[in-house]
Amino acid sequence: MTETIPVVHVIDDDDSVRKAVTRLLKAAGYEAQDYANAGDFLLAAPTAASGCLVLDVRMPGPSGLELQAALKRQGNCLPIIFLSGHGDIPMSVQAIKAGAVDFLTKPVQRQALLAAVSHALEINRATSAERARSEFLQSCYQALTEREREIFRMVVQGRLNKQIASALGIAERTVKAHRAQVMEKMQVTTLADLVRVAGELGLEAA
Amino acid sequence: MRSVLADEKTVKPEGSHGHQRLGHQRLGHQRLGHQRLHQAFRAALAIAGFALAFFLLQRLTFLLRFPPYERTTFWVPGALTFSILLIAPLKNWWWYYVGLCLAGYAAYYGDQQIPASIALLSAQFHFLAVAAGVFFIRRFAAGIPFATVGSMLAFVLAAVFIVPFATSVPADLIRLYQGNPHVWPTAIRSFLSIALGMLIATPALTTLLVQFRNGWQSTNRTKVLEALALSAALLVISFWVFTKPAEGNAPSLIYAPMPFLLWAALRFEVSGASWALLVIAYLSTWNAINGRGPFSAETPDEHVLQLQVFLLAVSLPLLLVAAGAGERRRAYSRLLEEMQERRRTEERFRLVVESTPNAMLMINRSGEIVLANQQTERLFGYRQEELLGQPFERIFPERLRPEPAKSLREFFAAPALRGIGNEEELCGLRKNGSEFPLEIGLTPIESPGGLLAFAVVTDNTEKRRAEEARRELVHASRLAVLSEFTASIAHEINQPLGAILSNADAAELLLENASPPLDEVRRILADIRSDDLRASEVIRKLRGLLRRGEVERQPLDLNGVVRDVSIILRAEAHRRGVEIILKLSANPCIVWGDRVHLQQVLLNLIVNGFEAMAETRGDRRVTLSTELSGGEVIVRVSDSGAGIPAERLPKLFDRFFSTKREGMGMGLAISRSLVEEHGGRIWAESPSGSGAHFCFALPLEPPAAETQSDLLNSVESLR
Repeated sequence: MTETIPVVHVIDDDDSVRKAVTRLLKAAGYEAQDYANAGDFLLAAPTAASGCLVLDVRMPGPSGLELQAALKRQGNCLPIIFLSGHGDIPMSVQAIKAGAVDFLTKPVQRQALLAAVSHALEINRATSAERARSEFLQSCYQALTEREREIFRMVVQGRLNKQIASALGIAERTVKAHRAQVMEKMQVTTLADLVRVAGELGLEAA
Repeated sequence: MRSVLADEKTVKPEGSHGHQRLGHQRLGHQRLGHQRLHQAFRAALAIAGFALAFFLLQRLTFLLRFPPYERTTFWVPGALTFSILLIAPLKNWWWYYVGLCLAGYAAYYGDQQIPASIALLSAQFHFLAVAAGVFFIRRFAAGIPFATVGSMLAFVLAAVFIVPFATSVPADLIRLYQGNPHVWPTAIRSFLSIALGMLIATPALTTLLVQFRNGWQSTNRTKVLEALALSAALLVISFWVFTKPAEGNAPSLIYAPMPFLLWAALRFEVSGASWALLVIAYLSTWNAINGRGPFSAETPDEHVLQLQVFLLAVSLPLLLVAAGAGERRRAYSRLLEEMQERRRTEERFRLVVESTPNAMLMINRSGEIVLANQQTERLFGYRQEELLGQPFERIFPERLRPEPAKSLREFFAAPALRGIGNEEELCGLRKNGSEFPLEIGLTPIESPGGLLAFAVVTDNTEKRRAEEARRELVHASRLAVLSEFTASIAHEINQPLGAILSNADAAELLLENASPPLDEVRRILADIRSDDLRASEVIRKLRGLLRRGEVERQPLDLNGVVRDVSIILRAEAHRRGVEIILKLSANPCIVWGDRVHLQQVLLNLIVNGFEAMAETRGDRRVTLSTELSGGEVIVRVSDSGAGIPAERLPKLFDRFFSTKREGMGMGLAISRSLVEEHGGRIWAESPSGSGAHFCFALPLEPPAAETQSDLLNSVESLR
């Protein structure tokens, strides 16, 4: 995927807090966007993938935790930093369990906020890279024929060409040709790389 | 005589015992015929009785005639007419007129010297003369005859001049007309005879008749004995004086009865003097006729004149002295009664003052204590002697003294019921130096020594303590309610603080740039300022509510109170997902009240509404409205919860009544007491399907000049 500038989405119903946090993030050099509630965010940036969320826990309408759950259901994995008016321990535990990057208490220290944001963007970048590679491998895998996928699976299971040929009832030479095709389509050169890719694709001993 | 007097008893115009008794007997069958019969019977009895008495007296008088005159020394029957007309009501006079005509005719019946027509005619003259005398007395001396020197003088004038003149002159004229040669010599004597008879006998007969009419009043035994002794002494001395032969009789002897006459006049007053004079008159005349005593030496002409002059000279001063003695005795006994009554009143007053549980003081115009009851001794620890005559400021602590002194001055300037000083702060000072709260009411009391301030002192220690306890409770309850949303309040303060911090951080970062965006920094500073104000506003409102201050009544706008409370509760409403809607009256809703207490009432009602909606699925709304209605401000707190069952509505404001599991049941009870303290009322409504409405109404503060000046004062004091 192409490099997009990460955006920090600030969602807080309190105007002054929202404005101040957004301002701080911008001053720190981040691209920041603010929303008064969860609904506004969902309408404005439904598919945002690059960046992170700075989310007030308590808001009218859907709360921060409810938005977190909804995003997770959608498969949106933007990292979330929670801001809370007061350190509510059960709530922070719940949020962290659900995958929140951090849980900060207002008034939030600059270092803490910026560190959390930078950490979150790091995570976001990492997950984005991971996701890009897995999408690439998936597309390579999709390019394989049914026979090639069969042979791919058997190769990474460690079977020898001869064994594969006898199992499939084809010539060993044909197996070799398919195997070369797989290596080429999956853009690997060594068997070890192929095994790793299989691992990344989740093709275990199935 | 007796029959007349017995009759007089029934004749008495209004309310005599006899009359009432008869009236009662007749009440059962009250028929007009019976009454008429009764009236006629009484009239007949009175006529007959009077005629008989008059006739007998006339006959008795004839016995005292000095031959050859037909006239007597003193003529008593006229006194009977005079007495009866003096006490009889005007409407019954005709009875005595008829009786007089009968008796007059009868008296001369068979007397060849005087024709019947003349007898009847002289009776007419006599009646008219007496009537004239009675009118004269009634005109100039109202009330009981002879009771005062004044009425006695009027009587003497009537008896000595009017009646004799009117009686004798026409009779003399008739005689003159008839050609009687002896008219002139007899005229002066008959005039004096009538005057003497009237003068001497009328008081005696009148008092006798009055006593008969009123029933015999129980007389003092010693008085009776004294009367008997006096009578005996008078009879003895009179016999002695008037029966001694004229020869060798010292003329001064006739003064021997004087001491006894004076005795009678001073001790038995008019009636005593009158009877004593009658005795003297009869005895002297009788003996003179029979040629005994001091008046027997000269010719009959001389006798009569001397006797009459003697009797007149004795009677006139004696009767006036007697009337004076009576007047004085009555005045004295009235005075005595008044004094006793006053003493009784004073005693009652003293008992009341001593038996009341309050301390009571009397203070005179110069501020001195003139009376202090036992409770005052007990309350202040002084003995009465230590307080009397002292300035009343002594019972106040030094620092408070100007206030009561001022109140007292104002009290004496315009005497009316009023209090002293500032009730909230007024303290008393005991002898031992300790202070205690008290309350003093001043009442004006007129006393012989001038206007006094009657001060009722109430010991307010207990009351003040109870007030203190109640204030504690109110404060504790306020804290309890507030503590329920410390979290929200902290949040409400935290938000602007967080914003300030982030803004400051942002500004710092921006200023690190080579060319800092100053406009943005300025905007940041403006935001910081407004967030700071926002936080401090919440803190200020909160501090007001947390304070345990004195009650401060002032004119305030309920709209503002509602707004303040909505600010404090904004975060809590937010936390609970409740929307607070304000529907405030466009006009200022000025009431006289304590801001903190009214905020507390609203706080209780709103929190109540929050809690009522805890389980509510749909919209959670609390609507706060103010409304002017008929001289009141009505504040409503309406929630969109499930409402309250009708049977619970009346009990809601009772103490310890709670629908919440962890509720103490104090919030609404305290709200009620606070509202009632403001002269308002509080109630709840729950129309089906629209949640509960908690309402309270407070009297609208009239925009009077006084209030406005107070408002100005409070504005002044704020500066």
